[in-house]
Amino acid sequence: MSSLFNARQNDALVETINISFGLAASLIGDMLESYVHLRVPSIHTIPIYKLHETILLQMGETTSFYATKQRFFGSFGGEVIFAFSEESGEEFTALLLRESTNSNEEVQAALLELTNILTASCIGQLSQMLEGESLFAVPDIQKISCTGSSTFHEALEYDNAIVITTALDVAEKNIQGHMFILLSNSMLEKLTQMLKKMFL
Amino acid sequence: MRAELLIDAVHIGVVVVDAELKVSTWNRWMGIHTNIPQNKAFGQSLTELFHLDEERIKTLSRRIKTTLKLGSPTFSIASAEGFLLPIPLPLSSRVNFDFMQQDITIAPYDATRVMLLIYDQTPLIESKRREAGKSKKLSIMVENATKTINKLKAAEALLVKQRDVIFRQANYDQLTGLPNRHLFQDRLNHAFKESKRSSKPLALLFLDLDNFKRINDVLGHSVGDDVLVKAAGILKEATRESDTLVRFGGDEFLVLLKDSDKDDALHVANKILKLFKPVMDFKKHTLSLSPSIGIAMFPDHANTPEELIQKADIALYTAKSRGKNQASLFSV
Repeated sequence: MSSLFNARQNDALVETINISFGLAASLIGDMLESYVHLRVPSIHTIPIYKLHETILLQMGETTSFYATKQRFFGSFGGEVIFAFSEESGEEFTALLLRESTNSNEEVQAALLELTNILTASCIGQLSQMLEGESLFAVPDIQKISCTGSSTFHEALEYDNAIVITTALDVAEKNIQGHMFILLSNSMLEKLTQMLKKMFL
Repeated sequence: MRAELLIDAVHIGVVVVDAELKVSTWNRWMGIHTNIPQNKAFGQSLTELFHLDEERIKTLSRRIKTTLKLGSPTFSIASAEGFLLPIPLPLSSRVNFDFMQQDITIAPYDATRVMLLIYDQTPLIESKRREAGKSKKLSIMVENATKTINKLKAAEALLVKQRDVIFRQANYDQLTGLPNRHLFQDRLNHAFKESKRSSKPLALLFLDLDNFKRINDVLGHSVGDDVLVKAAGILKEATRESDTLVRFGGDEFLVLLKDSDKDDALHVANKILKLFKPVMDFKKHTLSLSPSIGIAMFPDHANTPEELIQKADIALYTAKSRGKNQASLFSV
């Protein structure tokens, strides 16, 4: 898969996110009262105009999916979108509530709590490494139909998206979420410079 | 002191609690919306103040722990979670909900405490619900209308099909697929009017198959039917699409040629005669098949459609009497 990062920068980013996910895994483990392992199987970047088609591609054969959106402001600013298939959303909610559910509200509440942790830990870690600060806006969650038109028009104010597949291994289940960090060219450049410095 | 004034002035709920949910700050907004004054809330647990159920205590505690560990705010939003703190709405403002629908941001306050920022989102959620209700109603209406339209379309298609079937049965010959006497009458009347208006002549060829009665009688109706179908095919081949070719009844066929003079009519008649080969095979039988053709012209030989048919029939009789397998033009 193509990426705006070279192989070493890509590895550095994976490592950084893995570190941040260590804390996230411990918090999610507390939530689920179970051992949780968070992995990052892949990272790549895409131009922003490919966001909608990439999300649909990652969702595979499903009619609808859950997506959370959250902006972050400050010296490191952008937006995070998390996409979960209906199946992954329901599986995670069942683990949290200890019973199966297909209630839209319950799944949305559970996923929001999960992405709160993932976003705060990941963006928090990146901000810290950039020696900056990020403030988070109130997130939003929606169930989106795969056949409808794109609901990510606002994303066009950014230039790139870092696509991070996150795998949550818990109680013999593998729940996959797809994180998209939307950044302007200048923010991406800032991040690239920071990743370069990691090897100096 | 100034910070406390500021906290009391804002139009959101501000509550500071520790991990045990014990309150250390309770702003004026909270006092107004919960009817619990600041002095009574201070030092109390949210569990007692709101009579929280086990699920809510668990959720709040978990989020406070997350916030403290992450050092970063966590959020719960009304559109996904309704409410975490049961704050009753005044009776006068209850439309859809008994309790305030709220966004709550849980932000770190210090090492052991967090700040709950509570936003009343009830009007927003009510408005969203109204819109969702409207669009749901609308989509149900659209769905029902689409179903009705589809049913009507299916019924219309069936009617059109039935109408076509009825039209074909009434106007076409079942065996050869050619127009029948009924449709021909209509076309002939129409052609007459057009010919009168344009002063262009009409020719009518009246054909029957020589010895057809004998074929039918000796070899049976099945072979007879095959002969008629074959004859219809030959006539189609010999005529233009703009000509009207008709099975008039039995082994009789008519060909109406618009804008055609005597020479044109004789040309078509000869073409037909040539296409009927002397020997043809029908279900293991080899037959000698030929037509006789009578030709009449409008306006030369007739003034009305009926008269034209009659004159062509007379010409056919002449062709038969002259030895069959030939064409004859009406003559007085």
